[in-house]
Amino acid sequence: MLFYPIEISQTASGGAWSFNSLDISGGEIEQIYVEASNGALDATPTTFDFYITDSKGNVIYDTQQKGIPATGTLNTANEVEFKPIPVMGILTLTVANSSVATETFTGRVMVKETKN
Amino acid sequence: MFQKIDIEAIKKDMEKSLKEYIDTQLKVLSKDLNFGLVKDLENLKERIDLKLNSFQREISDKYISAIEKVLMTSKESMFIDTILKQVDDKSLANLKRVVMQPILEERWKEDLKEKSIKVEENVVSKGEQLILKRKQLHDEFLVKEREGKKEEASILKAKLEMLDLVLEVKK
Repeated sequence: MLFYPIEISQTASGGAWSFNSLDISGGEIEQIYVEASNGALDATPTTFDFYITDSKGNVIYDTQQKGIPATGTLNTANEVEFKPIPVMGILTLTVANSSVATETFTGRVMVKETKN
Repeated sequence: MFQKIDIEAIKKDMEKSLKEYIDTQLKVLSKDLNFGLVKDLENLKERIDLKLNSFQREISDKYISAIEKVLMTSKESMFIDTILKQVDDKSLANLKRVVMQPILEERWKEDLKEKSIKVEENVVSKGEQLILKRKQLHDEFLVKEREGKKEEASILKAKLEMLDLVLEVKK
């Protein structure tokens, strides 16, 4: 098994950030973990939307689909219905609508690479 | 016995003598007038000449002082230029370059300062537009990179780097 973490260390500007991953030859997203820096400590945690876009422009993961933004920390390990997402190519990770405009975000998207 | 008075003749005589009298008087008067006018004109001419002379002196003084200032400021470079022009030897071309180098660098620095001031003013006035443009470029770049269009992505990346260099001021 080969695990490739797409590391997240971003500061939002205007409540949003986005960046591209490296080219993934083929794998599955096993876990998504995105934490707003004051999410763990503050009484009013930051809310934000998080989505992943694939190389064809398809939004393959989106917190907005449920209509409920992530609060403080987004951790798919806590979601019962989360299933691994097969991916290939370059992915774009995006946070939008952060309630704190210049929030710092850390975390990772863990990809299990499958060898052919 | 009674002489016939020729009224017509007397009238003509009177007219004639009156005319003569008027003419002479006019001549006398006109001479006076002319004399007065001529005198005034001559006075005016003198006054104008005086003013023109003083004005010309003022202008030439200012011109000379301006030339002096120009010569003082570019004294060094002109001095070296004239000396080095007389030296027409290939082996001394290096010397010329070494001597001119600091002067040229100073000129380039001043030119850069002037240009940078203009750029700063421009950036302050267009700050919002630049930040929005940066976001737009960044989004485009992500799409191009994701779709594997490397050339276009690298062009956009270069633009982003330039823009970030400018926007660093704002951050």
